[in-house]
Amino acid sequence: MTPLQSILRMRLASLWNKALNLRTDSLTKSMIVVFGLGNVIGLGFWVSHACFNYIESFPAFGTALNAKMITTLFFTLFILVVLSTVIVAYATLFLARETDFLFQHPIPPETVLGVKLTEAIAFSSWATLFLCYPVLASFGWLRRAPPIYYFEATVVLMTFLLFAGFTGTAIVLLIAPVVRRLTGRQLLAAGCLLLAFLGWTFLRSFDFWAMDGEKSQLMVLDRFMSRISTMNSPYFPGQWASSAIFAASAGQHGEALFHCATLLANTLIFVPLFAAYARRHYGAEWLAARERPAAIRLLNQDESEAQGTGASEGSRRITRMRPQNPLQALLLKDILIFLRDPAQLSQSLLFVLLMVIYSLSLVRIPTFGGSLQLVVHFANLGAVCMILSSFTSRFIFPLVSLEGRAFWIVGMAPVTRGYIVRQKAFFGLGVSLTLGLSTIAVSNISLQSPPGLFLGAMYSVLCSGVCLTSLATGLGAAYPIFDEDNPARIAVGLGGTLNFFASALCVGFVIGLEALPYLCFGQAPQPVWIYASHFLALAFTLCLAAFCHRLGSQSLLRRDF
Amino acid sequence: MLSILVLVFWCTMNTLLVLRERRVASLEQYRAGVTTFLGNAFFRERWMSIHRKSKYLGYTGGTLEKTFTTDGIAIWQTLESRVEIDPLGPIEISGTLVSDQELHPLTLTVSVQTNTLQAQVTGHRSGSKFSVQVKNNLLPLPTLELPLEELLLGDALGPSFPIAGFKVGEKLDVPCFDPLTLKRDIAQVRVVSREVKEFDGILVDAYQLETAFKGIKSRSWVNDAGELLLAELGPPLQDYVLRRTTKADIQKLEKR
Repeated sequence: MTPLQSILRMRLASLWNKALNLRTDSLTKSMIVVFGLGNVIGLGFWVSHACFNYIESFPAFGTALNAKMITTLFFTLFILVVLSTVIVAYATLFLARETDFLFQHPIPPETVLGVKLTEAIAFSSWATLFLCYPVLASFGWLRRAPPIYYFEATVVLMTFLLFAGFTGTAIVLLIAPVVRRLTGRQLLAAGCLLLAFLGWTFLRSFDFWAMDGEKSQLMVLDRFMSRISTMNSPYFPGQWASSAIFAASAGQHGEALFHCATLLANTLIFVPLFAAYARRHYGAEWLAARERPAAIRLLNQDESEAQGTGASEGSRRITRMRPQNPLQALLLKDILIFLRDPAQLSQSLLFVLLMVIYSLSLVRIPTFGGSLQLVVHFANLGAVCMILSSFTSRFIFPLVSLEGRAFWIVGMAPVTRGYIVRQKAFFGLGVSLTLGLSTIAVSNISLQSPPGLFLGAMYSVLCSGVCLTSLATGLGAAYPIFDEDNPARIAVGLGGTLNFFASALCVGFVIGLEALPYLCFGQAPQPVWIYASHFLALAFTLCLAAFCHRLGSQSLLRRDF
Repeated sequence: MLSILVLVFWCTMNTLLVLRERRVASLEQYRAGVTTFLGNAFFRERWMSIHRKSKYLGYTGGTLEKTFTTDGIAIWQTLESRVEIDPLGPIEISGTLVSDQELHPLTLTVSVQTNTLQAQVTGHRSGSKFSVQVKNNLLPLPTLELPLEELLLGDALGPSFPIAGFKVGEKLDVPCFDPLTLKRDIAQVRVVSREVKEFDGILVDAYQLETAFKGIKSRSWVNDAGELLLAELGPPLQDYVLRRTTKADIQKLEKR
């Protein structure tokens, strides 16, 4: 049996054991996840079809704009999947415990790289596949595409995601040796510079500043889609993918095959390149990465190297602090663990960047009035809450699981299990509310919202923040994965997926409650109805927080370590 | 062995891609414009309602389709036009022009009907020429021998160009077959400016074009995708305006 066959057999056995261990509670959880996923796919199809249909109805304009939207979708996907793979692949290829385990066995490095690479790409792109396929399906439905289109779209999307994943991995393999040679401070500065450059490029490319005074939102949208020249280059992979989709939807299968084959050829070329890299460099790079992980250096630089300043100073300050109470002690521990994890740190920086870009992108949005102002207001609220929901699902949900097998140490502390859940919730709440409230404040200032709507948005984010944090900590404590040290994998597990759907549902419910007076009584409802909706949102938030706390505490209490 | 196959596959596909893009880049202005107009759509249609001082007079329009046959690529241009023009009365034109990928005509079939004229036009390749025969009820006409070059099929009011990707200041000469006079002539187009134009209540970025064909000058506005939004004809057809519409709307207007 070859090493690859052995690993595959091990994976299958692990899956089989998990399936055998499904208890009633896990089965319920699985059913909810499947139901949630089905709803997301259905909702994604319906919403995108409604949008495509609406835009298509504009004469002389809509058809071309819809095509541009598909091209933009692939452009965005490319950036997101590449960024996501860069982060996940670095942790999976160089830092994961399982990689150590595989290297301890007589397995060729190319097999290890192949297995870990497949895992990294699967983790970073599975959600994208489920979220984007309904969009492509609805486009095909709109254009009355032949049945084979749906198969062709699947192949194109999967090939494209694989290409983006391979590109992200290639970037990791190229920059890993450079990153390792940087000092902590240089790494931080380089990261900030890169983020600033990416943010500036994004804003510059779309040229928001030139849109001042434009009153037609459709024209703004059209210009928004047309500005990036890379997106329209015939040599950009996104263009191959979108061309294949257009050709397939028009029933031109030969043309679709050409574009898809171009994409596939450029994807497959990575395979021999990665194999050659693995044979010559992977083992040595893995060893070097393990010797001095960059983020550890960021916080624990040598005394001589750090010269008493910068991040190491902060790290020492945290470790030397004498907490006054258990809450402070646990908070300091969580902060330190978070800062020591390179994956957590880099991904949280990406989230902050996303929120900054989102807020900045609204700066030059035209001022809206009437019902459109309300639509934009609630759409903005929804966007901020959904970003917040992703944040809590990715960073707050894994907090309990990240205690790992050493949970017994925390478990033996002179505090109740409920106290631990509350502490995690307060920690998460502090971070998520800081991010959420600042983003909603900046975006509402940009949109020039009137005071009533502004305060309403702040209140809604406050309620949503509490709900989302409660769900993430409660479900995180109820369904922990103590064997897993990769937070990205914890977040996309069954419990994490359940939390994601519950969070989306919760955000929808809170925003629905807040929008109810406007839906029922028009643009200017009486204040009493607005206060009533605020009260209902608060009542829902408190009930959900209490339920999640109870669920998490009791689950942890019943657990043996 | 597998690596070599992958490498060969990669080289082949990328070479084909580069060759394809080079071919598009080396195309003459008109062909490049038509290629951009079709883009990835393979099928485009354009329907215009014709008005004079807000009075509906008729419509003109057609489709442009790129098809892949065993002989290579073929571009099908169909035309359907019905309009009342003083003093000619009602004019009905329908036809199809099939061209190869160079936009050189392969076949032509046009039917023209006015109060006085009934004509059937057919055309086919004949060596290095394109032969056009006209059968009509008025007088016998000799076979027209047109040079084998790009050809556009015009309608009763002049040509409308299936082109996109304009640049301000650009000038274009397009050979056009006019089914009303049954002759080939050159239509001259000049891209005057790019401006924001309100169309059906929507603001659109559009290019203003000036077209001269058979002594008639017209102004038209075309968006980035090559959609003709509005055209205003000059003397002797002043006050005639063509507005972009849909086939369904034309059917409703025709029923009134």
